[in-house]
Amino acid sequence: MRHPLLRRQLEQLSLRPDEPPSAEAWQSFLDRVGGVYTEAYQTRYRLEQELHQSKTMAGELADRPRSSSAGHALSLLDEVPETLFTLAVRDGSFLWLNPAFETLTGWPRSEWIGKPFTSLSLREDRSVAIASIHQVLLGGTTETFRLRLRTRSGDDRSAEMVLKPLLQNGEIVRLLGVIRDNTLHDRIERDLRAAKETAEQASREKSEFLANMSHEIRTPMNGIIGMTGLMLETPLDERQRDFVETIRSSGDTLLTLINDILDFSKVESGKLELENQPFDLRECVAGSLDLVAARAAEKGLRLWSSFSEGCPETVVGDVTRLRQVLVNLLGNSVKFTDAGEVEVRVAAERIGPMRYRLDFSVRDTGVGIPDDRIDRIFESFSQGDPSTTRKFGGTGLGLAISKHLTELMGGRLWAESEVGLGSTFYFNMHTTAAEAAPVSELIDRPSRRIDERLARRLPLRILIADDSVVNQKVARMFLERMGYRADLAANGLEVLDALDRQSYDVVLMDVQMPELDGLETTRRIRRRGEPQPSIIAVTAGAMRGDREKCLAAGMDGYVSKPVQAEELQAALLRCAGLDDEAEALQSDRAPPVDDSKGINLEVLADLHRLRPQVMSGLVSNFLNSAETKVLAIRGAVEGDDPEALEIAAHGLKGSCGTLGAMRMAEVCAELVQAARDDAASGADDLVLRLQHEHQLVRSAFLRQLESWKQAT
Amino acid sequence: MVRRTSPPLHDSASEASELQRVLLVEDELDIQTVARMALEDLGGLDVEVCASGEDALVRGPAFRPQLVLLDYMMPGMNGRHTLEAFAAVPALAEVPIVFLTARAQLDEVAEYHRLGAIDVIIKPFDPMSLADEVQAVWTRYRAGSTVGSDA
Repeated sequence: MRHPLLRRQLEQLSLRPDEPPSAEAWQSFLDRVGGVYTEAYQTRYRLEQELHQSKTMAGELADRPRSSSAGHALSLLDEVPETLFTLAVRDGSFLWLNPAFETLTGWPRSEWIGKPFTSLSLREDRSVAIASIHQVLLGGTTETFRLRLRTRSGDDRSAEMVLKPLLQNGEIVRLLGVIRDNTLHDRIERDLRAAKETAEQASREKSEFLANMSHEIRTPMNGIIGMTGLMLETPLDERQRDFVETIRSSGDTLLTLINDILDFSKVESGKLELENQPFDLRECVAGSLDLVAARAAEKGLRLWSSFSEGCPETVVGDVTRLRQVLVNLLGNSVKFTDAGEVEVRVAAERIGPMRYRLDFSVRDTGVGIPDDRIDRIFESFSQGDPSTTRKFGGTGLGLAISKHLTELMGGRLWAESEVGLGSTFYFNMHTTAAEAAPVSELIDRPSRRIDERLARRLPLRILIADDSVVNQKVARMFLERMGYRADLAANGLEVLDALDRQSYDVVLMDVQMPELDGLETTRRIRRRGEPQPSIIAVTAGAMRGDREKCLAAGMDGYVSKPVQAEELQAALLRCAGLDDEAEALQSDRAPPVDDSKGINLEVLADLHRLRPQVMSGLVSNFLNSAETKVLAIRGAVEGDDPEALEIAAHGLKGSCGTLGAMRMAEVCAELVQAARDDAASGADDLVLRLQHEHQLVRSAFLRQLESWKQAT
Repeated sequence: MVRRTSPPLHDSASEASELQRVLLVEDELDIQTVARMALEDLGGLDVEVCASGEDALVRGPAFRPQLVLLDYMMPGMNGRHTLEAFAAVPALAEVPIVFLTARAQLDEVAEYHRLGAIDVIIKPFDPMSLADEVQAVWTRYRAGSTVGSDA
């Protein structure tokens, strides 16, 4: 009873210690004591709570300076849209994932903690995932790879992964990974590719349509022109002759138009492939001037050409197409100039070790072009003045084609003009100078003067059979300069049609033509009765076996592309039995190079025996990829990039050797060696040799393709 | 990491002594075609072609190749990377590897052997004799194993 609280309570109850309490008082006593206990218990509970909170707060306060930035960073990682994760080193299972994972896959993160990373990928991709993890663990490197992921909804997602080792004291303690969702990117890429293919397909169909149409129109046109030619040889009075001449020249114009359209569609559809052969720049300009010289002389115009100092002698490019541009510009200038002169200037600017920009200008003293028309003349089917067509003829495609061609050659074409004073057309192209020794033997000597009276002493009816518009034109213009008026055929079938209609003394036969090639056409002609024409083969190849094939098919002579006036003249002389004169004309020409040893066609033949059906695809693919690699090699040498050079040359070497292009493979091996010796920039002559070998291989393989096609 | 350069001893000879399935890892389309023709038509082998090391890791295991012909210079994983990654894939780890490459100078060939390749066939190969050459490599490899087990 010493407890003061209890004593006070007892006093309040007025209980006496010596008297037994009444039942009522006792009850009241118990209630009060109980209340005190309850109150004490509640107080204690409250105090304990407060103490606990204070302790926690004290702890947090103590920790705060260290952990706040880490906490901040962790919450930032939650905001990153890329999926981030860490993996355990022991078994590659997920330790941690950020919320982006849920957005990407649709799975809750918690389900994946502890599960292996690899089971997130599609089954087929699992080995990639395994290999990559191993690579990171073994190599300590950061690896990037692509995987397809399983998602909760069942869609695959294509993802790019980066896995990186996290190190602590030099040991890998876990792997950090990033998943980037590439699905949309891949889909866009796929759609774009599909759209591109559709567009290309449409463009191809358009070109094919044009080609077919042109062919359909050309066949009856050839009939009209051939017949008028025959009619001109019959007795006609002056009036009749005038009519027939007009039909003939209108027919010629129409045919030119059709051929231009065909050529234009080829250029525009990107089907045109430029050749890359060394050629003599001065000879090309002189040859172009030759072709317009007759018309210039008729009008009393002077023709000039000049070359600035430092112009390379020999450059690499497409001589036929350059000549086409020059002839087109010169032809326009001569056409629109009544008095004065037409001048070609060529200047060269060195832009790299062997690289040049060639600047051409063709200036005339003609009618000129008004300012408001000067840009439109380069558009298709457009001429300076709507009345031009009536007055001067022409298709209005020449400049559009020339503009495309200069762009393909890495340059540009534009004009300046003043009405009444004349016009100057400028164009440029990028090229490589070819001064190395091995090439010199490829270059034709400048041609001698064309014998303009050849037709008079040696009258011949000549048919040109060539599917290339440009080659047709060149051959025809050379023949015109000699005084011949030649007819045209675009393939073997057209040749046979033409021979049905009339007899020719000479057929200039391109060996590679669509429909019916030159060799087969010749065989068919030889199976017919008299009269038989002389047949001169025109081919791109310089191989001896080629010539023998032509002779075996029944051809009489042989000229190589690009056709040179002198060679053509000699071939015509031989057809007429004037061999001595032909010999004299060509006496100091280099004999054709025998390159047959560089290519082992047995390899292709062997493979063809195994699986004939795949060979066309194989060889075409090789030709395409060789084209690309030769360009890459040239680029690597020009850019002095030994690494790129080694890769490209190495790849090409393997393919070449496997298909029997032995010498080309050897040149590639030398290029690989140059790359390893860090001598890429000095490999220009090797590139030239490679380009030369490439052309030989290309024409040999193309002939092979053609002969397989014929055989089926 | 060292690869086995002789076959595992527990292989049942009857199952594996005849070479049937060859995995070709090669990025050049024309070489793929020629090699496939040479090995299938002349050698009577089953050939699976993979265009890259990555491709081989994905599709290789299901084919269960007995021999791998591996190009060295490829975009992406080169021959060495591919060979090393194979070690992590159970179905490929034990398969003998032959480099089929034009990259074949003395030090390079030495490197291939060091990596654990059983042999090197040098490009350009002759398509008409490639199958024989592969068979010869296989025979030598099998013989190597019997000598190894006798010793």
